[in-house]
Amino acid sequence: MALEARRTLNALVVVQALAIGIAVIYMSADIWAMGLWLVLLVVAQWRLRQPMTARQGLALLSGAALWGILAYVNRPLEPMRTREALAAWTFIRFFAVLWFSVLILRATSLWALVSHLEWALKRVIGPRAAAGELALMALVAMRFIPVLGASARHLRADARMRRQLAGNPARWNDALRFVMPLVMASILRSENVAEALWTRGWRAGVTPWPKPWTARDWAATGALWLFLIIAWKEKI
Amino acid sequence: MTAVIFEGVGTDYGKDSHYALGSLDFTIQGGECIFVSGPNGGGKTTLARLLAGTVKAVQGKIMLADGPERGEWPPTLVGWVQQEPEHQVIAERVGEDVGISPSWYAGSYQEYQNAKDGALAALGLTAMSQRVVQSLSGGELHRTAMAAIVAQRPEVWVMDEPEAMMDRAGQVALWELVGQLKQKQATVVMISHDARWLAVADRFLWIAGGHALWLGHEDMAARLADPWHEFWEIMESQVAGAGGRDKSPGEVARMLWP
Amino acid sequence: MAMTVQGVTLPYSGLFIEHWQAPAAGVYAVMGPNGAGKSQWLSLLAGQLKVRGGTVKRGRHRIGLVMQHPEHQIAEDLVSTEVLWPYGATRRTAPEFLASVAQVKDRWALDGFWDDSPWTLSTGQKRRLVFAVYDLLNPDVLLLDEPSESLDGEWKDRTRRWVAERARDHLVLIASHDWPWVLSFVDQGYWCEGTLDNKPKDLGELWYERQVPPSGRLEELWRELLDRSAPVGLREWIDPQIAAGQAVKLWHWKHGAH
Repeated sequence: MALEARRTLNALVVVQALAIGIAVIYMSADIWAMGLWLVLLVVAQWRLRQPMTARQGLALLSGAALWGILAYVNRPLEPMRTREALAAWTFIRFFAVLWFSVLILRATSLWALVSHLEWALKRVIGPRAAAGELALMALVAMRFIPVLGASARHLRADARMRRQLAGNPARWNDALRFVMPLVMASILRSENVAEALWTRGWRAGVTPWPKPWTARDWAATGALWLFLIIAWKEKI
Repeated sequence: MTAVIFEGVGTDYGKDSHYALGSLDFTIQGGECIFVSGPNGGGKTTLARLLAGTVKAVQGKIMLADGPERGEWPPTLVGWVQQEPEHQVIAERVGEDVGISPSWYAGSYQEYQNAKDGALAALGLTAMSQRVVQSLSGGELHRTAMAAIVAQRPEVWVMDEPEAMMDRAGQVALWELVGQLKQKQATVVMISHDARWLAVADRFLWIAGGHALWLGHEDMAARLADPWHEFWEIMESQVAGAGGRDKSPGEVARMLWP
Repeated sequence: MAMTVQGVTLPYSGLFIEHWQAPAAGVYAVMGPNGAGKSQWLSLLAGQLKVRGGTVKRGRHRIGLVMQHPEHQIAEDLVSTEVLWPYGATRRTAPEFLASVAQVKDRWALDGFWDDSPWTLSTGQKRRLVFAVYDLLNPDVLLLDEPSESLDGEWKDRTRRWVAERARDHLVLIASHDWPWVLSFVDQGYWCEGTLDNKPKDLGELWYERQVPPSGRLEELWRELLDRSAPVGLREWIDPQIAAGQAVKLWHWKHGAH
């Protein structure tokens, strides 16, 4: 554990990397720069040794496509060629930004990210309840969304099994019959999470211990800002 | 040592009569281990919630011996190992979840690390620290939930069927943990159907239909159908001079088959 | 055609099933440590777990799975709807169907909360509800994951009787850690750790071979007696009356009194 703690960067460095990375990729106006980012993303994905699933790929593509379409319809007065080029460029930019964000978030612990942000926020605005409540909401959502997903999968599998056993063919609206129960379950689940947090000592005023800032964190932060300045000056 | 006083406590949690409990009038002494049992739906978990502070007493009050009422207790004073570990485990990964309470209340970052690592080791989870909670089996999840409360270092422990779904290795770890708690004179409220806790607990509480009843060791053993108790009832009635109820199983085996 | 599983490796647990063929009928236990893949295996048989490689053939069997957590199978706002929704309107008024519903309601004592929300029930009551659902659905192959958890003594007993009755002409597989409970009515079982054997073994022998730390004193006594080669059966410890009868015999034998 101690070794692993020394090897990984502070979550606040990761937050900066995320922000700077998104800014730089989004600002990039040259084809070659965008090509470079995409190559780097491919390398990073390969280095992570976790292949992207088909569903993640589809989510990335459709998310980016949505922004591309928005860019297209939001400029009705421009000539057709410009609109098409703009939509394509927006699509590529958002695709790279989303991919980058997914990679960063998968490579780090969301829990550490939220608790370090909470710590930083409380350092800035003081130990106000609002910061704690914000963090609580993030924490609840983090646990709650995957649990809800799992619950939905279990319920659907169970319903399919029961229908088959009862001798009724599956219906198109089988998926819909879980909308209500899921809303119900989600309310109960969030009550469970809030109850657990409370009994385990969460209070709006408490602040989690941040990981001590090391020389490596300084070095990484310096490199990040240097990268941002160079990218800015060189207008990559 | 932390004593808890129930003074005419009643609650009607959950709107329906299923969960009504009360009125409770007793004191749990500091360092005492109370074994609570009773039929399904009788109100055992509601007692746990009252202690954990997530259900309020509609009448009466729950206090510490030195005065403060439930609302004013320190946040980590009561550690509640929930019946459904799925409800209790919040974080994304095993190590993170176990470290939740110390991340807020430890004296330093180092102490937080130590509390977390110590609790993981105590339940044999060190190698699983980075596992995503969603990928755990039922027994592993229950161990994670237990380790998290170890890391919380509460003075009053409420355990709701902690032996559920655990393999024997986990049960041994749990048994050792409860032994250590008794040694450290923590106050323990053990909720279970399992007769094994008869050997550990100091007093026995039966909760059924929302009412609580103190029982002696023999009565509790009879209601739980404790195999050891039943075995000796028959032995003693059929063999004159066959004492051994308090002997260890090894000694009894040597006595029966030298 | 019998159910078969061939060349499958399960995720996380790494359980490898080279070849497994389902027995025709009867009740079989699936035992093994936490995280060994017992639940995953049941999900695989039920068609709810997708794996890469290997083959799973289910034939035309109607398979039902009662999961570890009853909350994963509860979705309605009334207990009655939970039990009845899968059936068409015409079926629901058929006299023989109404008779089976009445029987199931009676067996699982659902009358007391038939018109309540399942969410207000205790964990043990929720488990009974899911049993009732699958009792009425009457599958050819019933898979039960930790069915005795959070049940009190009476309901463990009633569940045992139900399973034993079903197993006369259906196949029932039970994944569990509750040795005394499964040993009390299940003859054979599979051990699940790393690999899964094709043929089931005598459950008593599995218990003696595999389980080191005992859960209670009577079990410990029996293991000691077996270790000392005393003439006792492998399962006698689960019933204190039979155990005491056997111990009385040993006593007379060794102490020469009749």
